[in-house]
Amino acid sequence: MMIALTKGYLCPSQPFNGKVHSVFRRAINITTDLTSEPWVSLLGQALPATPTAFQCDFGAHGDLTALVKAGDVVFMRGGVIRLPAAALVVNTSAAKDWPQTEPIMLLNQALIQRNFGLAEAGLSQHCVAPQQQRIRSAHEYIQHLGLTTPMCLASAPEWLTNNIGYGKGLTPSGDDFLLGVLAVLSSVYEIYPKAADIFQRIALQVQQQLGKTTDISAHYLSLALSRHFSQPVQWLVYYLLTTQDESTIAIAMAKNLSIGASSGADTIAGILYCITQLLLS
Amino acid sequence: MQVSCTALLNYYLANKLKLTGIYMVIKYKAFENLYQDSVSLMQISARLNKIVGVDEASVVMGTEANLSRMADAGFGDNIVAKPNDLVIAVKGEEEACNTAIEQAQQALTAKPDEGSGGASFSPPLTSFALGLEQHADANLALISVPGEYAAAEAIKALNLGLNVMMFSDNVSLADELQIKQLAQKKALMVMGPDCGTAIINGIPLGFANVVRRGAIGVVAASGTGLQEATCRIHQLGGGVSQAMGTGGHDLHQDIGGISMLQGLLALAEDDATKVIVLISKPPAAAIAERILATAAQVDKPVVVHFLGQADSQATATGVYFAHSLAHSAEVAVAVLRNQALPNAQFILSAQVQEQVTTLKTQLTPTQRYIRGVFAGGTFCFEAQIIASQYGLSAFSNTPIQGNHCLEDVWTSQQHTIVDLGDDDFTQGRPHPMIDPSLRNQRMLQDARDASTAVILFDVVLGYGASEEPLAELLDTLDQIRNEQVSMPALIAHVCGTDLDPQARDVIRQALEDAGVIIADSNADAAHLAAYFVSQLG
Repeated sequence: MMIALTKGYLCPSQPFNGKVHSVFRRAINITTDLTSEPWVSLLGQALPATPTAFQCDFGAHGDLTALVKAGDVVFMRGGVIRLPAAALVVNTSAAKDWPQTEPIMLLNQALIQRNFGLAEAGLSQHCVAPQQQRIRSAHEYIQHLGLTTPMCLASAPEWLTNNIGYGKGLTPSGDDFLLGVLAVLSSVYEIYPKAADIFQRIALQVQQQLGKTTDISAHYLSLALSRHFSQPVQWLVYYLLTTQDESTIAIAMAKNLSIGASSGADTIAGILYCITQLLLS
Repeated sequence: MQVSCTALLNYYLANKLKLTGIYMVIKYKAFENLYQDSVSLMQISARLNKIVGVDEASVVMGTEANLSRMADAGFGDNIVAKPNDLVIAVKGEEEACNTAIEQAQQALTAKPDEGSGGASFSPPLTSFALGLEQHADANLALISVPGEYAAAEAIKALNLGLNVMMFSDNVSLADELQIKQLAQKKALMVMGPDCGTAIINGIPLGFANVVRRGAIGVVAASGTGLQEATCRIHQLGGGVSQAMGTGGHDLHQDIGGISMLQGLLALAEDDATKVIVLISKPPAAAIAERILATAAQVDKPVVVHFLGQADSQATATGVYFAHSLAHSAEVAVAVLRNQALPNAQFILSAQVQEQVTTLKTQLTPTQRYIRGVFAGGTFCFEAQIIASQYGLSAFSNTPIQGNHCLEDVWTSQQHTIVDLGDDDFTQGRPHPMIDPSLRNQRMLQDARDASTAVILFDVVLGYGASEEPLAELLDTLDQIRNEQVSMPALIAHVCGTDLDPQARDVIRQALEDAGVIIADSNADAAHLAAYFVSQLG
């Protein structure tokens, strides 16, 4: 039996029946019969914690794709998740909640400007275009991805949803970018009415277009519409808007940049785009 | 894995393009409800794009936006797929496209245990996350990028749960402290920055020598110091459990000896380690005190050599003070074997005594000075300390306390002992351990100086060091011999082992045949040179 080490704040604690939706080397996605928690993930420790995931140490099990198949039966009883076909058992009862950010109550534009510069420099340092030319700004990175963005976010936020399903990766770059935008809007939702308005306008469109992307990406977009984001994304946005400490930014950036092949960078691009449009323009 | 091929169309361009006699075709395959992580998709894409004859390959999820983009990119508008389908599309020569589709299918449908088998798929590792994808059990990251990028890379590695060896230098003390504090929080070890040497689980990393495995663990804030100690342990028949470098700044007041303390405690808990050796250039006093206090609490014998701060005898607390790099190894081996502690005093053998006497008679009255030419920074430091014990005050580019800075680092004056591996000499050049040309030129220059009595030098062997250390050196020695009527004495030390790729015994013999007096250690070589000069009056 494995012990889940952390659990997201939207993870189910009640019994469920379900099946494996998809499986990766260090992750299993499960669809459940619960209407309140229809999706739960089992993730390796190196993967980012999400609101609907249990993090486990899969080290002893090698590559999970050798053990588990899409469609395998899963159920949870008494806090223990079982995949009988793979003889995989995960006890979630001792898993700890990962810490969430506090609500942001005040914005300091000078501080945000400085932190934006640090993050943009970090993104530039991380990203190299195919021709080996260094990307010098978030704007250049967005162009490199081929995403379309409105000149003024406030006037045409719906435009961003044209990127849904667009780009490389299991969660296409356009979706990751949109997650970054929504994460910033969500973080200042209560103190900045304009952000709340933009968020709602985007949300309305995204809700109608979830079918245009992969199930997994649609899951994360759905969470975002309810203002839930993964741990690294939550904390990066929080730090960019609040912290005085450069090293904290560097560490938060490093955590995000290590997500997926380019998902982390794509999300950061969305975060920086939204900060520019909403808070620095 | 349920992979069903909903559509396998050999879709030829509506009007097959005939370009220079080669038909360009487009082929694609859609895998229904197939999920692969983004890193795998990127790897497959990179692999397909490398196939000769493939003009362009695209590996994406079959969303409406992606199909539209593929159509714009010339893949045609007939690709049929749904958002959860994985689409592989290739353009190029027909045979290459067939190969690409076949390889993609193999990569996507291979059982995990087949993935690492005969397939030639080895995508480039461009991030630690990618590395961990392929080697989930890896627990050490080796960082060798320009200093300005090294700190960020170290933080990435630590956040992925990796211990770190930072070969990179030019990392600020503030960054080093931040990295080491993060490592401390995560109970991980950081070796470096500027850590050029380590032997972990028997694997030499950076500039390191091939030594047998054994029961002595070494932690050193000195690269060549660690090499000298581990080689000497091997030469004495002992072996090394682990050898960790900490980087030269670790015992700085601002860093606090974080890595040395972590290394010490790790070795204290390591069952394979019975005796621990700690080596450093002079540490900050408070840091030295902290390390010694911790060493005294460790339940294993600890041999300490802080260069220039040798205290006297073994203490009751199980901490032994050594007097040179080599002596630290000798004490460790003796303690391990329960033997009497070796004397640190330099003993001149009758044979060498005779050589010295003969050489003295060949010098002119103007030949009075030592010219030390070192590739190893700590060897230069140790040679200065030993020379000072004979009352010889020297000039250097890296002077110890009491010695003097050279007016011009390129020109020797009176007694001169230089570190050719220092930044003064390595701007735009390889380190002299890798390319000894600069060392050979300096030797020639000093031999031509009528005041040079002794040329003292080191030859460092092992991985990373010059594979042919003798090639130019013997020519240089020939040239000195041919040019000089009254040739200065040549005294050297070869840091290495008989298991090193360059073969220490062969090197030593060749140098002896060329008229060089070879000492067993750097300390012995320095003693001999200083003694020789002190005899000149």
